[in-house]
Amino acid sequence: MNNYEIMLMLFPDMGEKATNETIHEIKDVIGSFHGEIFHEDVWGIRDLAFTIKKQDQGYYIVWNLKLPGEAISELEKILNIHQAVMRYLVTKTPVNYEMKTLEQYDAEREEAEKEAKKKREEAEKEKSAPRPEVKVEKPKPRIEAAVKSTPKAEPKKAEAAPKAPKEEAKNLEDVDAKLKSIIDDPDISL
Amino acid sequence: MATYKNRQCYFVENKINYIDYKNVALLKKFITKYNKIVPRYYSGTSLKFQKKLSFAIKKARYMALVPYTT
Repeated sequence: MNNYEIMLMLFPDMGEKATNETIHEIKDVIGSFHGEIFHEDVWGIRDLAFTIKKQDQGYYIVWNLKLPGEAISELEKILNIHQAVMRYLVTKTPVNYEMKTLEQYDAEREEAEKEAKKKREEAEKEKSAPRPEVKVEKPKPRIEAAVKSTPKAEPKKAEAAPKAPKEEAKNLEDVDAKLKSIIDDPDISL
Repeated sequence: MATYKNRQCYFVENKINYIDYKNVALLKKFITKYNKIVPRYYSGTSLKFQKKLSFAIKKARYMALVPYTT
């Protein structure tokens, strides 16, 4: 007795009665092989990714089974011939495998989307956050600097100017006095 | 093996052992815009899981959960 997983795809436009009848038929076949179904998940009518036998939708069912090994090939023969079954897939399940229903897959997908949204919002906040202000001293404009420099220079020049002629005047008087003393001196002949 | 932008294997990091063909949200991460399987260099998966992944995607395609092409 091995563990298998079967996924069935039935025609969607049969009606509730006919689908339930086909499901009961297949379950009886499994029962005749002494098999057990211990987990069932009905997905219901669902859109297909591409058209199969001119149908756009399919009725999905998933079962977890326990069957003897020889019964699988006979089950597949019956499913091949059955007219209400579009497609089927039989897989072996690994050890410690727990089947997940469609709702669990949807819940996981929504959680993943929410986490992705949060990360995106956090990333946007970091980008748009105000940057820390850095103090930058403004360089003094050149006109003010030039204006400030000239008034200081003028008083300096004004102070220097009166000093110079006074000194010059003193030097001239000394020179005149020396010249007179040389000219009036009788010993020196010019 | 060098991978694109040094990506690491998604299944080794999250410690996933069995890739379910019914988990369409997980499989869609490894499919391109034109519904082709992403090569190992760009997704960063290890060889062991790339083989299991491609087998799961082919099963999902057979059961019309994922298209073959657009």
